[in-house]
Amino acid sequence: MNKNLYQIDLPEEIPLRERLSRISPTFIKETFLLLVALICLFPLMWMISTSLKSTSEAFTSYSLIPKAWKFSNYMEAWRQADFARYFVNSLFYTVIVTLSVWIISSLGAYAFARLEIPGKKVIFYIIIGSLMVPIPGSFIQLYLLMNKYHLTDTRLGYMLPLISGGLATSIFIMKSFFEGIPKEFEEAARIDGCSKFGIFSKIMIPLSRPAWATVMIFTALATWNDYLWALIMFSRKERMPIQVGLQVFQGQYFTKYEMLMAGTAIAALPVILLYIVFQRHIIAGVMAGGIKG
Amino acid sequence: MPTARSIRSKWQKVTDYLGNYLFLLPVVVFFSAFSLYPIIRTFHMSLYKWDGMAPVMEWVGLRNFRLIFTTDRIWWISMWNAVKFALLGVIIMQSFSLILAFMVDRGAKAAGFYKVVFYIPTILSAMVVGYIWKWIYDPYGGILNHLLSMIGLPHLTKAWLSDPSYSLISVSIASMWSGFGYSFLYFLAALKGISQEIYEAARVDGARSWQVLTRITLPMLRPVITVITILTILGAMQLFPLVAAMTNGGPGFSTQVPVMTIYTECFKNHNYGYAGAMSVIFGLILLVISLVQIEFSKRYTYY
Repeated sequence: MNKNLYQIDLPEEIPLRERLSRISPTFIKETFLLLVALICLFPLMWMISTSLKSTSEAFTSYSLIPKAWKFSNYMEAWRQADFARYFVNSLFYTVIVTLSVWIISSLGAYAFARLEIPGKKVIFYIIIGSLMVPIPGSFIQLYLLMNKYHLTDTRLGYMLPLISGGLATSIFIMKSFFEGIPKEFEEAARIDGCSKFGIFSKIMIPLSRPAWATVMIFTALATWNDYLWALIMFSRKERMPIQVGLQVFQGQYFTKYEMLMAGTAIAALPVILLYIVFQRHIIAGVMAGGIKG
Repeated sequence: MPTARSIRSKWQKVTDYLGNYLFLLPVVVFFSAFSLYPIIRTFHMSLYKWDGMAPVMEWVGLRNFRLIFTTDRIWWISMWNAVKFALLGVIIMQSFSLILAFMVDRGAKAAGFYKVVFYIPTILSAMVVGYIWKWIYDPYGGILNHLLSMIGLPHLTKAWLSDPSYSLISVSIASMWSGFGYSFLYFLAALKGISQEIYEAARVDGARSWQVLTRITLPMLRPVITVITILTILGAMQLFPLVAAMTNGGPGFSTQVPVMTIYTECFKNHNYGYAGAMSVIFGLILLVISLVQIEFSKRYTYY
């Protein structure tokens, strides 16, 4: 009886073409988007999965769920490869560079937005222009400069150019935000006898929190992820950041991928945590334009 | 005779300016020393021959440039590879992220979820991306070949990174994976910025949906497409860490990229001046690409 009912609803003789056309475009779209989301996430899941397998299992089993759950890989990577040191180094560099970029770029952006300085427009265009004309080989000269002042292989020598490299974009973002703040706030403070620096630190900085939060997040991401400059700067392991440190897992002839993936996961973890906490901010920042993460 | 008062007010103005300059001082110092100086110095260095050791650099005029243009095969291979990376990025990644942006803009079930997830690969470092994909591509334990055999395409399995015919496209796919989230968000923001009234006006005038797309949406998007194109080209041409993690330029020179050639020329072969000349050529090419793109977009913007 039931069977008949179904047949009335959906006769089997519907031609294939018509049946296909009944698949709604929305369904195709949603499936496609889900598939892309899966492609975004799968490599990360695969990284975690591999990092928890044994060497032989990593090369023989394609299951996403490890048989043995070898958390000891992480312990081993952390200890044996001196990963603790790299991790702490990276953390140190990221915090210092981010704070410095924040302070220097907000001071500068405030000057560009509000203060009367002869020639500031020219300076501003030179700084922004440097974003447009990348000279990818200028790291050589940077290296020679550091060498001249005996700053190669030092923390300071590593961080100074990273700070400088973060300035242009940060100034750009902060400046346009400062320009959007009504001038009345500052004038009121000036009448109350507030100094220029007082206006900057007590009024402009608190008001521009969304802008400098964006600046700090993206600077932190860029600093944590830097590879090229670290590669050039450091020959001694003690001061290397984690991105260069990952190389220790790359064997000359044979790579123990479960260890490499454990190391990679450790290197990716802080960035993913930062993203989870600040995802709204990051996405809004990119969609506002002008940021390359 | 200036009065004491006018002198004082002038003096005050000077100290005022000096105070203002203090705000700008750190930026100027940092930027000149670590951004501007190296760029200028690169141009300067390109006219010399220097091994990094000799007390004096030897002036050679434009000889470095002549050598690069006439004899340096590896340099031009790496330039050509950079062009391929850029073209793949512009054609495949851009259209892909534009289509995704259209889909999400037209109302997807979980738009917020897609925005968050598509951007995840973008925040990862090139090394992280490179090592993960190297493992995915691995010919012995890699999941990609396994998946291909599983879905019945065993003839497509390959040694992705060690076959010179596929190494570049394989690296490029990893690079697109880690970059499309950015252009997707950028396109999505631009689509949201197009006012609904324009669409409604077009619909009232009886425009079909493909007419709306080709006559309204795409032309409105042109400035954004230009920006993304420039960024994609600049990014693809400056690829280095990802290649270092995945293939180190090999096999042969099939994935050798310009930054890598400059790096080798400088830090391995110690030809500082020669590497400087490469940087100058490369920088100028990048500049020309940006300018052409901007000009091109201006000429074809009708609104």
